[in-house]
Amino acid sequence: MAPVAPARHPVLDFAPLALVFGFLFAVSFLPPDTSKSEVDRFSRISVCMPSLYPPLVTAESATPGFDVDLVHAIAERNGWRVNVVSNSAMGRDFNPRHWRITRAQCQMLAGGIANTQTTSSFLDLTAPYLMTGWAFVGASGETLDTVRGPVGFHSGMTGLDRIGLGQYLRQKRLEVAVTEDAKALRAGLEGNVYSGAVTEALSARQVFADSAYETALLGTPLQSFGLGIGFWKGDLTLKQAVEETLLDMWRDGTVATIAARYDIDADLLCNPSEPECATGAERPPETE
Amino acid sequence: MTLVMEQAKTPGRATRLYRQARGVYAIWLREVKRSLRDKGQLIGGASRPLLWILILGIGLNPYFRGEVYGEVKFVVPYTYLQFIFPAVIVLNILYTSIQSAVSLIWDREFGFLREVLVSPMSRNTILLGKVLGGATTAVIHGCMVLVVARFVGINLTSGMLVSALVLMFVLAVGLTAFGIVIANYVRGFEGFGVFSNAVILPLYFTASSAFPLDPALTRAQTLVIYPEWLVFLVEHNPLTYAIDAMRGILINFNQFDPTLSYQVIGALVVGLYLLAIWEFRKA
Repeated sequence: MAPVAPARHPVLDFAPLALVFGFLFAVSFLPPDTSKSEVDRFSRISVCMPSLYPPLVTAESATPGFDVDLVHAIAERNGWRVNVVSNSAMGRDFNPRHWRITRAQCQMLAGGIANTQTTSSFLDLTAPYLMTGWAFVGASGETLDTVRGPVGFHSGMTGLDRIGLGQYLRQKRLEVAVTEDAKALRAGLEGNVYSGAVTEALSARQVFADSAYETALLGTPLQSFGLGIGFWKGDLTLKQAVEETLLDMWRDGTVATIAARYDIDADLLCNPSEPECATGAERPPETE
Repeated sequence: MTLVMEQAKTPGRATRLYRQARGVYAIWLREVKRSLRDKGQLIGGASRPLLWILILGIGLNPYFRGEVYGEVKFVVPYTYLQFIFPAVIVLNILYTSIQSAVSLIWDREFGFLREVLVSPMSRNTILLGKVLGGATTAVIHGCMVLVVARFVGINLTSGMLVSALVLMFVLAVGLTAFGIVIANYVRGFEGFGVFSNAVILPLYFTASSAFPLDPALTRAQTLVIYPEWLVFLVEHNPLTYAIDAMRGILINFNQFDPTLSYQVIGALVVGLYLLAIWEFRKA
């Protein structure tokens, strides 16, 4: 009679499988690219930013802008020096194709990179840390529904949907006067030429920061965008390093401190660890 | 002395169902255990993500970056690594599902199939056990690819994971049934290996797995860029829609209408399973 092999312990059946899974899990920690090691090697990171885009990028040396401070803080924590590459085309719209920038110029992009489908077709983005969209500025308690008289308008960022806003304001039967710049908008509001003002949320917060006027994001049915930091597609290691640093900065309150310097209210900040912000992208307008 | 013969009671419906379910479980367990003990199959399951994602993915990734050191060109919301990742999951499922049908040839060769077929279990029950066993193994092999999601930069949420697993299982059921159909025609081990490879690789390569039919292009533009016969093959390959559905779940990108993808997958799985039932009657 042939000897019967002793029965194998059921756990042993799964040992090779566990080994394979363990090996593949270890492989998943391999760096998929050299983007971070390149930055580490020279201890320097080039960041493409718009020349002027208040409050994200300003012309003041003491307060250079929210995104400038944020990028410097991220770089400092990683032991990098920052080389800011100014690009005047960047602030004009949200489409990176128009900015004429290449990987040779910068490894990172900041200063109002909107997390939209268009942008994500060209760039990889971090989860948004700021939200923006059209905002209404008016006296305390005033809204677009209660306002009487003309409303001043300044477009600010050109990437926001002006057609959608136009339709929305027409629906509310409001008389709208377009102003040349944010200062003219404020002067018009203060001089009672306008009963209220509509402009991009971040610039509204900055322009009207020291006034008694209140600013409110218009939200749905209008679009709102998350702003994040952009990377060239495939630069995963660099993106992961920046995302981890950003999360640390949220946890220890650094982001909130920088935001306070630029009068950016907490309701416009977007903590990337919150699912709503982590999923990121643009919030499309709701159809009514 | 009177001999009282007790009439055997016919078991109730619930008992019969329970016995059939136990039979399915026994066959399922045997299939899964045998697959998981097969080191060759495990190495194959692990090597595919390593070769396809690590080597090919890394190698071609720069060409899908949107730009290298020039102007922004390619406009897609993913990297090449992310693009092939769902396809490699489907490849692993495809290989494992079809290869699991080798057990049918094995069982036939060594007489085990005859013993099972003369058991009280119905043929459909035996087939179900085999298909579920093969599908389970295939899903485990699909999970081997999911493990490297971090490497390709995909953050798996629980919702994504559940949807991917469901799709993987449904697909694996259909493809295991397909493997059983092949095993019914090709009776030798060697023949099955050659035949299944001759089926798997063409199916995979014409499923928009390694290159995209750019969704930004119109159909007329696509036909200018690619030969018409290739576009025809890609659009008529049901696996295209399985990979596309997987991409929709994992990288939120679809080249085709997601509803159409799920309809094609549903029809494929039901069709292949019915075909396997038909073929298994002849086993």
